[in-house]
Amino acid sequence: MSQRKNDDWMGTPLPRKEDRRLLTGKGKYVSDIVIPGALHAVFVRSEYAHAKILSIDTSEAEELAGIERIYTGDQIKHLIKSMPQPIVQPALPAHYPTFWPLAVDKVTFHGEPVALVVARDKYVAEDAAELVFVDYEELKPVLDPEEALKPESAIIHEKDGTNEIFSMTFTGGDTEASQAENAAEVEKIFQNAPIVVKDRFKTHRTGVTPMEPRAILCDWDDSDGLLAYITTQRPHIDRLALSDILDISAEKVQVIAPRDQGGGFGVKAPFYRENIIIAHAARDLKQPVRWVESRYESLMNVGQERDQINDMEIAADLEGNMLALRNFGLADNGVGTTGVYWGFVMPFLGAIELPNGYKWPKADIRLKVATTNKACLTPSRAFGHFPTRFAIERCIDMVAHKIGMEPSTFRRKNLVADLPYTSITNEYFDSGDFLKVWDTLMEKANLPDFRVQQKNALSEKKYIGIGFGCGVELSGVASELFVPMENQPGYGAATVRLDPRGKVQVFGGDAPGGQGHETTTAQVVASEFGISPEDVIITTGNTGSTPFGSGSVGARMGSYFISAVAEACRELKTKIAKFLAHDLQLEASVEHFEFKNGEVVYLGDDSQRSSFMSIVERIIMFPINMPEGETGGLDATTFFEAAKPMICFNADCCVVEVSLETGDFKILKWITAEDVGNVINPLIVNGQMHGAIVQGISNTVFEEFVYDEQGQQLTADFEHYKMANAADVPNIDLNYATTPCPHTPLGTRGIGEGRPSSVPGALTNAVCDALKPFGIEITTLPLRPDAIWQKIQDATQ
Amino acid sequence: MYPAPIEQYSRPSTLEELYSLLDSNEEDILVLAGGQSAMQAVKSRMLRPAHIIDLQALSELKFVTSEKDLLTVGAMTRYADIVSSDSIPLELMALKDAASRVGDRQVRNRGTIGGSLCWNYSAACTPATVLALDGAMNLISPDGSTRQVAADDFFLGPLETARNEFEILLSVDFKLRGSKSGSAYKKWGLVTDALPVIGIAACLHFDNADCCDYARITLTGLSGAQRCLEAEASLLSTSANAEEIAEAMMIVCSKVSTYTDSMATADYRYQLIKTIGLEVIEIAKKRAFSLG
Repeated sequence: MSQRKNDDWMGTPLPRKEDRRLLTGKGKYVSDIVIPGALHAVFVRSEYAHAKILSIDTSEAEELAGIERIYTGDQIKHLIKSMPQPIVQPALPAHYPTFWPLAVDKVTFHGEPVALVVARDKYVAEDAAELVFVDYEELKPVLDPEEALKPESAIIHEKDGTNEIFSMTFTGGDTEASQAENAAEVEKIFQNAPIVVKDRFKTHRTGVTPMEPRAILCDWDDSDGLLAYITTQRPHIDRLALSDILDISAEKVQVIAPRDQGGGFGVKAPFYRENIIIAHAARDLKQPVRWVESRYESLMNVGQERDQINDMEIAADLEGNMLALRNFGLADNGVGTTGVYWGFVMPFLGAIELPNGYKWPKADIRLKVATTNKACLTPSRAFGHFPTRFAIERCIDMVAHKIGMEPSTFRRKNLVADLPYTSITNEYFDSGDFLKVWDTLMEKANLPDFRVQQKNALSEKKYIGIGFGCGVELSGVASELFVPMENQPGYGAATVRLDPRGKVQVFGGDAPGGQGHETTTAQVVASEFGISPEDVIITTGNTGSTPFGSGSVGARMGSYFISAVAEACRELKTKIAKFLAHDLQLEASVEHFEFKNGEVVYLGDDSQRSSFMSIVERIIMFPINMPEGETGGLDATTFFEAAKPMICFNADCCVVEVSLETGDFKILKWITAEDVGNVINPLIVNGQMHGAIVQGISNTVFEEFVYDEQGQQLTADFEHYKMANAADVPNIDLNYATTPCPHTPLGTRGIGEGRPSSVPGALTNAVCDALKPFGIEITTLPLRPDAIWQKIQDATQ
Repeated sequence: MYPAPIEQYSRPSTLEELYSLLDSNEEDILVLAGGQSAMQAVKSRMLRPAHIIDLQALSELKFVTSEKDLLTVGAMTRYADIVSSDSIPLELMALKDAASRVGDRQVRNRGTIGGSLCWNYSAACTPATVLALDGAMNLISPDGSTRQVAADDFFLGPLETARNEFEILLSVDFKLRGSKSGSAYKKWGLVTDALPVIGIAACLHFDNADCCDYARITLTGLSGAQRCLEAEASLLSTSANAEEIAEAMMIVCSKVSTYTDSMATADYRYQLIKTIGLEVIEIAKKRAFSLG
């Protein structure tokens, strides 16, 4: 065990409790769960982006030995409610498409489920899937979001009469009149501003790819109902959704997200149509049914985000004051048939977070989201604002270049200096010190020194550049934002249960995907009770035993869940202290006792003490001679809601060298500064930051989902969807400049979710800084050597 | 990703056993070497073999030997074994260049030179390298008859070779040209060790006057391994200086057509041919003069 002081495990780099099992192949995933007699399901998926289904012939497939059932959309549309249902529908006005788990009448993207084959094993199921013959009549696919919104475009979801699934104005109040007035005021600033930069910033379709794809195993029992093991970040929401859609009374639905899941990153947060039909099949056949997604299916269906165009304008004065911001965003939503998010919830939040940590006196920010015949956008870490942050951080550099000011100086001058602060899009920044973070970064970056090196390098025809970016990120999602955005509560909930042996069980309703909840939770509980983290175990993701939680999303661990854990511990400590004071005949309450080294010690006289185990055993097992009004037992469930929405803040600096000959670049340095609040486990926090920055680099440079002009998905394997290798990413120099969060009991912040968002801007800014002698400004991602080389050619020829 | 029905799996441990298996003339046989490409094709049902004959237990095909002016590499020699072999001389260093950057560590530990040559994927590293090194394939038929096919005649196009269905590649011979010869291979892909968007191999020999009297340049990534005959000819009787190499690569560019996809534009592919070509040929030249 690592060094610690006075049983304070807070801030200890404790090796993760889960790692031995995960690294030795002992993790138990959905695929490892055995239920005798489980059948295997395989989807027949659409080969077309947009086509009418004329007929589906399953007769040949049904003749194969080992086939249990083949389902099609026509068969199930009368048996299963259509989506949307309120439990998975945000309280945002939108054209929600109607759909069933299997396509009915037509297919709307390459990869859409058309039929489901259930068989005794996966081999037979795949043999049969090949023999399901679907007769299609091709329709013109809608693939470009701008074209999709034109009146002459084909309509994907006919009942809506439009491909515009969602649109919103985020500034200027709630009425059209006030928004128009605001827009006019913004326009006036632009007309008079000495510096205006306007450009179109494009981010490609990319996102996240968890190591474990989606999987579900359902069992049905006529008296107990449905038991579903699902790879999911939000088992409690899945439970309610399955209950509502399949008309199974809620007490008869239990969802278990296994303790081990190979990553989520947002992909496992939606409620998916595949889960509905698998659960239906288990009920229908009264047999367990398992579906495990292939990598090909996964890359074809999920993990696709970021796909946006942002037409952005910034007005500034010659002294480097930001005057106004105008942004018209257009997101390519894909088909929109994914529960909870529907594709557009990401761009919605992306627009709210667009202004970042800067003081904008005025802004006009609007968003349109267009449905296309592509896979629906799914949440991906840096939810919605990877594109808008790229646009704003890039645009800020372009403004600084025009003023003739260091981009970093321009940023510092306009960062919010005093918190709390409410942003121009009404996002609340509760606490922190942005300037302290920024100054920590700048000290490490040593810009004056770099500019000398850059000049010297240039004289040797070497092109090195430095780039900056920063990000205000959500630390959990307060109910205030979560209820309207997703119709879900933001509070964190935890049950802490002591047992007579002095050990602790913790129960949490969110379902982690590898973030280290077991270790972090154990450290907090051990610190509270003065015991060892080894004495603490945690159960997550089982709706049968855990309190309600909206899910492992939006950096809810270090903000909401762990705060609920701490508060539950404190509630139990109060009771323990009351009993101990009673037994020792002291006039004392919890603040008079210290919990340390496995003992509870009276501060007024340290000979008055009890071992933690004995007092706990006494309260649970020997409930006689008790303080007045008390009962035995030590079990507490707490719901934590912060007074205000909370944030964390980070900043990036990177240094690159660009080859003029090939446009290839090498990242020489990556320096950060982070305000993560109080740290529970620095190894885990470092890991979150490393992972997020690598994900950001990989998204910016390598990863791209590509559709051809017929809407065929061309990148559904790792030969074509390129992800960064270890050798492709730099060493990362992490620095911390923390301010404890005043709104959580431990001063912690939730971290890691939004963290990739400042990466694309910082990296592209560095490349443009290196190429500043040619006046090259890059506004389109991915940041690929061929595109950079072409820009150099255009600038030099 | 589950294969179509497979009737039979065999794992011969001697060549005799292998020949008797092949002698039956059954259809839809897949001879499996390291399985790093073929198994993906089987799992995705692109290939539907009825019978898989797995060569992994054939230890007699795992070797690297050199005799006088000949280096022979057994077909079941794994990339990792090529990289760590002490028998491969500097003039055949292109082999190590290629083998050390194929796929990832797992692929290099299982994938074999023979498997890669017989699969002949359009963007593979090994076929282009063996073509530049003028390797000769030693093939054997179930009846015991053998033949040797030069690399020039072996690679017919992506996923196509001169190997007959029932022939087995036993080994590859490389003739050593002695002093003042050198070779190199390099590729560019989006991420480290990716399949090449463009890969180039070169093998040069210089005469007593340090003039290039032998040159083979090959290209991969566009449509399989291909020779750049006109560029090779242009280097002969030159000292292969930077200018002459650049000119040779201009000739390559004028003879091949490139294309745009999600990895790189057509123009960028030409640029890669020029920059990688220059680098590879300069390395080969340095090695020929034992300078690197």
